[in-house]
Amino acid sequence: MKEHDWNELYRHLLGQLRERGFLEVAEEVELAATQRIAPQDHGPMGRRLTGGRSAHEQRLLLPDLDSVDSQVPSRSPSGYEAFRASFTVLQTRLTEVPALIEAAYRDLEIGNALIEWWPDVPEGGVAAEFERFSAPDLTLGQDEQRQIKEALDHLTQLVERART
Amino acid sequence: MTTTLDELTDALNNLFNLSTTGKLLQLNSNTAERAFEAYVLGLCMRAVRNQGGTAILRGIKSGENPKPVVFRGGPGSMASTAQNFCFAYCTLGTKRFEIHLDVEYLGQSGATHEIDVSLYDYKTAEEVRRKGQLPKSNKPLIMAFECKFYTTTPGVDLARGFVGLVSDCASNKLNGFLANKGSSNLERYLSRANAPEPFTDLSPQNPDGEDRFVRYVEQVLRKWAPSRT
Repeated sequence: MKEHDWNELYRHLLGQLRERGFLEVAEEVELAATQRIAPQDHGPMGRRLTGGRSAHEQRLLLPDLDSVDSQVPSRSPSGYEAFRASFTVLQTRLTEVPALIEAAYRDLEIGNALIEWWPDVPEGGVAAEFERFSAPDLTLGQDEQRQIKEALDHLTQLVERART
Repeated sequence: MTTTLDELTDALNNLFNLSTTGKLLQLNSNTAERAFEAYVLGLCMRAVRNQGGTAILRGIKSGENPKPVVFRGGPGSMASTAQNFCFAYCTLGTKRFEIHLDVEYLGQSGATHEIDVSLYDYKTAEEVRRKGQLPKSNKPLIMAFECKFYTTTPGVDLARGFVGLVSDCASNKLNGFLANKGSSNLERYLSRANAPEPFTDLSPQNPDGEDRFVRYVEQVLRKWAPSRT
């Protein structure tokens, strides 16, 4: 696929998220897709800052990595990279979050007791609604997990094929 | 055979059309962060048990084996009985301690800090609950973990905040910055002297990263609470 195809696919993904009301995910996707790409080798600037110095000296030279990074040449992501970063956001949301709950149940050793999250406010106090939820909101049944996995695997295969 | 844009668009639409996709994408980031903390609590309990200790969940109102298990959805007080908030009661050798989620501590400077996952001395915690005070982040605070669940490449801002927090706490045995994803910037920032220990690949989908964290906690516990035999 050409650069403009990847850009269009990214815009489609973002549009779907907004259309379906997943606004927080849309923001995460935008953030991921617009992050500048730093080269693996930081080039002459990076070498000048760190080359030939002890680890201690390097730490003294790098007190604030944000300011150092702003001096390192970076570039805008390609259309493919922007889409790939967006897709990673979706994958993380759809597979890692349910896995966290499964793993928690494994190590907390609570059998099938329900896990709930409640805001810590005194009776009558005002609580943020997002602070109240329970494990079933984050977990998937086996069939649901399989469906998600199949859909993600299929997309991954198509993306890889489109790259070659 | 190459893939067309239409095929990819259709595959994306199929993913979005699954009802389970909607269920998970409508969650806000606070929800995932709290799930990550519960996962870390479980790993800490596993580390205690691996060292021959005991780790049991207690509700502040109900005692052992609470049902349901209630955690804080946001920062709160160790002494709070607004709900039956749970923590892990642990024994190891001669030591007794607790593991808490999202508890606020009083720093050396007098500032209040929320610590995502904290290991705290049992006797001092009992006193905190009796008096309804904020726990202090001094000697009874054994370990402090900042937990971050990222969906994108993380920057260093949150780690910088935690560095400030731990500098206001005295003599912890372990301070850790725990995240499911890392970045070269973050790893370089956390490689500095006095930075918290970095565990930036902590995920149930990465058993190696999980084991590394559990073993590290075990080692610190082992040094702090030597076996009686």
